[in-house]
Amino acid sequence: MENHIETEMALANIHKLIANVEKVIKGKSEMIRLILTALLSKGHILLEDNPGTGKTVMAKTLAKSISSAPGTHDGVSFHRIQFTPDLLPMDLIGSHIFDDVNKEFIFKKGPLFTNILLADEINRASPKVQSALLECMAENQITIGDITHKLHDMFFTIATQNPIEMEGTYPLPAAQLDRFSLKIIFGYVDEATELEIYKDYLGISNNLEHIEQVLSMQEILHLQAQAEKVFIDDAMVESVRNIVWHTRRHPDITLGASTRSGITFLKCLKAFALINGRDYVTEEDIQLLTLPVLHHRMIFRNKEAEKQALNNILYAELDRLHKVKKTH
Amino acid sequence: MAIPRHHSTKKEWAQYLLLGLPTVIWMAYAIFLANQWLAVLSNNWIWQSFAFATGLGLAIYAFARRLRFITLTLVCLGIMAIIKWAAQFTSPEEFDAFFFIISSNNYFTLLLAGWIAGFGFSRSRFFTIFWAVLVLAVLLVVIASITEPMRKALIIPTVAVLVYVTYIIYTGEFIRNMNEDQSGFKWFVARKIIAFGILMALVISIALQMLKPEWNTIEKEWENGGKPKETNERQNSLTRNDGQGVSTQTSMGLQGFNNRANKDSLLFVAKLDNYFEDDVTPNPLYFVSDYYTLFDSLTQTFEIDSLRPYNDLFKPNLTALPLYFPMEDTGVLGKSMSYLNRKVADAEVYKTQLSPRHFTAPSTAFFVQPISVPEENKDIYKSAYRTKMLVSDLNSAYFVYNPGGDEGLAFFQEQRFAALRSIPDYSEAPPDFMAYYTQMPTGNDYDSIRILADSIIKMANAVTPVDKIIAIRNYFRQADSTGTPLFRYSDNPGIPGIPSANRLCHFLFDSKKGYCAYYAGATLFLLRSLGIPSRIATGFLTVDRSNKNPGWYWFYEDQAHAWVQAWFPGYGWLDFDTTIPDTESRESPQPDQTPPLTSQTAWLVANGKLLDVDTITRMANMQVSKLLYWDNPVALPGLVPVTMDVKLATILKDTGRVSLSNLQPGMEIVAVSFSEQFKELPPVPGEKWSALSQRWPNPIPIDEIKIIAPEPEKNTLENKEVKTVVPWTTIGWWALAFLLVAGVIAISIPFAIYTWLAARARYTTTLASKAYFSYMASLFYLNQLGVKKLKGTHQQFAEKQIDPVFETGLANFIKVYQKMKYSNHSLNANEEKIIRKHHPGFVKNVRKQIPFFKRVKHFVNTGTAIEFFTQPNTLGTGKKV
Repeated sequence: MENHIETEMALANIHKLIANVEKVIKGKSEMIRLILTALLSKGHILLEDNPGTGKTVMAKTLAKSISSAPGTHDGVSFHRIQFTPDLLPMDLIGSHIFDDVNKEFIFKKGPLFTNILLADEINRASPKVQSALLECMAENQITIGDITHKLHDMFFTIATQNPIEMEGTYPLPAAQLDRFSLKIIFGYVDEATELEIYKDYLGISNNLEHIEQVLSMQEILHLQAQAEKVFIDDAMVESVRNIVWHTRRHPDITLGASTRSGITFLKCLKAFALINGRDYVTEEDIQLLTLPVLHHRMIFRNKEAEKQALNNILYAELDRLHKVKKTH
Repeated sequence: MAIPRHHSTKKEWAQYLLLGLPTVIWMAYAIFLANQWLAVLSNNWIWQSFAFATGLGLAIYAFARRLRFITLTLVCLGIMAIIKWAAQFTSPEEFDAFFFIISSNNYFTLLLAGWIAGFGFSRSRFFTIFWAVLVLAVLLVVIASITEPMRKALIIPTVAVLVYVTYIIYTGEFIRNMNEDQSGFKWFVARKIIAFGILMALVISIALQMLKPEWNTIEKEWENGGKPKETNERQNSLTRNDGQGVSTQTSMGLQGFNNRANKDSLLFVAKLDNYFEDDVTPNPLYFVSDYYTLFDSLTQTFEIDSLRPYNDLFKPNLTALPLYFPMEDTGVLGKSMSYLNRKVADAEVYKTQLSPRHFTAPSTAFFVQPISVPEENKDIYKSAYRTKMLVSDLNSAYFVYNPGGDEGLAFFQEQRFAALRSIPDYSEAPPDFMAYYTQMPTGNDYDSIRILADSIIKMANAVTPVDKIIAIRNYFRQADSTGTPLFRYSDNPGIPGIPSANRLCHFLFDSKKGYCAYYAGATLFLLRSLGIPSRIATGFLTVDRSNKNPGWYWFYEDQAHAWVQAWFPGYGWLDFDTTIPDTESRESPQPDQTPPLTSQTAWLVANGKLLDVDTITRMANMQVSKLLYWDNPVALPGLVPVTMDVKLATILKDTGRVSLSNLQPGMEIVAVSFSEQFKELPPVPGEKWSALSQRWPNPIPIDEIKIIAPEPEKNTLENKEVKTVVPWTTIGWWALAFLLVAGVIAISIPFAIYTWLAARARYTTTLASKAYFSYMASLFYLNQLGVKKLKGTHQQFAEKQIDPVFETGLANFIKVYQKMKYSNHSLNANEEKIIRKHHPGFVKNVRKQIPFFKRVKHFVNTGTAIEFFTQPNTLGTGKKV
């Protein structure tokens, strides 16, 4: 019963957060939910789309909505790094500089030491820089020499990238992509929303400045702990396993999903269920999450397969679930 | 979790439909054919095909689900063994048990064959090739054993097998490589298969067109060689059975023209009133059925040319003639172009096995009258006719054969030759006539015949046409110094194997042995190369065997014959037979029957429609349209009614006798009276019908009534098959009825499914089932009403599309349903209530919004119902990732 009440509390908090973000980002509630899914599952998210679709504003708004401590009006620390081809790993993680006073090298922390990191246009940086992100995204820590620096408990990366086809981009390595829990294609808003945005386009910056902190970092951490407690039925676990297995066997998929991605999938399912106000995972969650969670990790044989293969696997699995009466 | 399937559903269905179905159809055809030859299959091809189909389908089904082949095969074999073992105890009758074991063996063997084939198709890439080789091997065995290589019998199986084999290899590979995930998959498959069909049809029709001349040759050569199925095997190849009796062949090939005739089989008896000048010695004449005037050098066959110029062949259709009513065609007399030494002769032909339709008479016949067979001979003779012909005094069957010391015959022959020697050449003959009847192909073979002909007449110093003919006859009859004849008669002349070889040359220059058609054909070419107009006649050889009944001749089946007629200006066509007598032949039995002497005269013959018949008083009324009295037609004032006394009458239909009750009003009949009463009432010239009928007894005594079939019944072998075919209209009605029923079933399927789901939702007891069926029923109902899920999950569908419109609370229900299905909480009372109450209310709310006719219109769409069950989640979803 206690759990149930917490679900409602969690839902209330989440709704607050979503509503807050929606003040700035309009018509993107699905996307916001997915971004929160990444946040609550302690993952990271990659937003892909053309420039100017609101990716950066989205990240900023989210950062501003979360206060560093209850009762304060300071947002959590938020750093934005614009990735460029000449960016060096040092620029991210920081460097040792000589302290004239104490005659010793001290470590000057780079922009990675933050709560929310916006890695803008991540695919424009060289692979060397991209790989520097690997450890901190996976382990939540940075090792320089023999000293390991712990990152904040809440470390959330929002990376944006332009479609690969655009000039001056490096494709992200598969290992890097695997670190992102979800990749979502941001997409343009619909016609009506776009008109609305134009009408108060001046207001956007104002909104962003006057955005309120609705949740504290502690509350976010608490929500993350709550998400881990969400019940997941054996049938759902099996379903995840089936989907992952099928991606490896499908003739049109060269590289299937890894076991790690399966685990990430389960985490995301739990978080997503919580965001939708449930303390159990349903087939609907699977239907909505399979593509964002798995699609970017795979290598497809051709364009047609890229569009179809994963969808087909998903729908075959859903058909199976649909016909199952009750599993326990 | 179940082990994933080997093939997707689409691939599996493609295998069922594209590989399985054609294989089963082909196999059913093969089993059907095998059933006709193998007694062990006991004529149950439908169930046997079904067994094969079951095996095939099960194998594909099992393979797609990764079931083990060997294990299942062993299980199958085990069941078979158990049934065989158990059968000993189940049936009390020993024979029943044996029969059961045999038939179950058949079924199991076919089931196993289907099983192996199905697994092969699914499992191995090379099985289709192996299968194709097997099928072709079977085809070769079948072709090798065919005795009657008609076009139908050969081309159909060959084409069927070739198409099937190509198809199965193509489709096997196609199914292996197809990508069932691609969009428009069904259309893609259909396109491929249709294109393949068109290509095959094109290739085969071109191939058949190109092979057509060869086919015709082969077919014609084999036509007479095949064993006729429905008659005895010893039948003469000059004759054939047309279903009612024996008739002469309509075409005359050389190969297989064996005289395998039955010497004891009597065809007909004829009385020929043709005597030599002494009016005592009978002069037999050959009976002609038809003339062969054309030679087709491509197919090496002599052909009947119905358009031949100066056609003097009288060919009445006997079955179409009413009894006693004569038919005359004097036109043929002029066309025979003869006026010297001619006289009219009479003949009566009494048929036993000769076909009732067949007309044969010495040349040149011009008159025919069907007559009735005398009462006492009706058991032997089936029908009879009288015929008249213009015969030449110079013509006789005694031409080749040695007069044998008979001075009369020797004198006659000399006389005849003397008369014919007066004709020096053919300068008077019409040029087109000459061109037609001396036409001969060109080529090396024919040139060598020409050289031979020239050397023969040079040796004999022959100048006049008749001397040339005699020289040729002598050439065939010559013997060497030891007395061995140069030419011999043989039923089996050692035919060269190559069909296109010129057999006549082979006969003339190499083998020098053959039967009548060889001699006739060779003589024809020898004569034509000398410029003598000639033709081949087929019909019956006349042999004078009995001194007891002068003028009566018996015709047995081995007397079917071919010979040559040569034309002389003024004298017309004369028979010349150059065939060497068969020294080894057994003599035909001496005719020991008494000839059917006509003791009765048909005084009165009436033709018309039967009005009514009284089977108790045995009286009948008929409406006469034609009348013969004392063999002369009587002029009638239109249709006249006549009352008949049929107490003594014989009723005849076709050639058999039937009872009086077979007479039906409206029938066309011929009534004949042999009554002596009419003998005393001779017709008075110029007497009117009314006066004549006054003198007759009333009712008229009738002795014979023949029922005339409304149309000449088609009883030939070819048409027999056609007769058993159900009329197209019946097939059409059945097809229509079938389509209707199938249509009704098809459109009621969705309703049936929905009813079932709703009933389950209503009556099932457990909450889980209730929730499941309510859920399915609701979604199916929406699906059938054409409410398409646009995008996203069912929950979103319910929230965004359904509930705002129908106010059904579907989203809430789905939420609870999902909770029940996947959460670890139990439902509270309120949630349970939602589950229990959902479906009836849901349907009520939906109905409110959609009018009845629209509901019905959408509900009958079976397609959407199928879609619902095949792809419930992909419905309406965008394909975009």
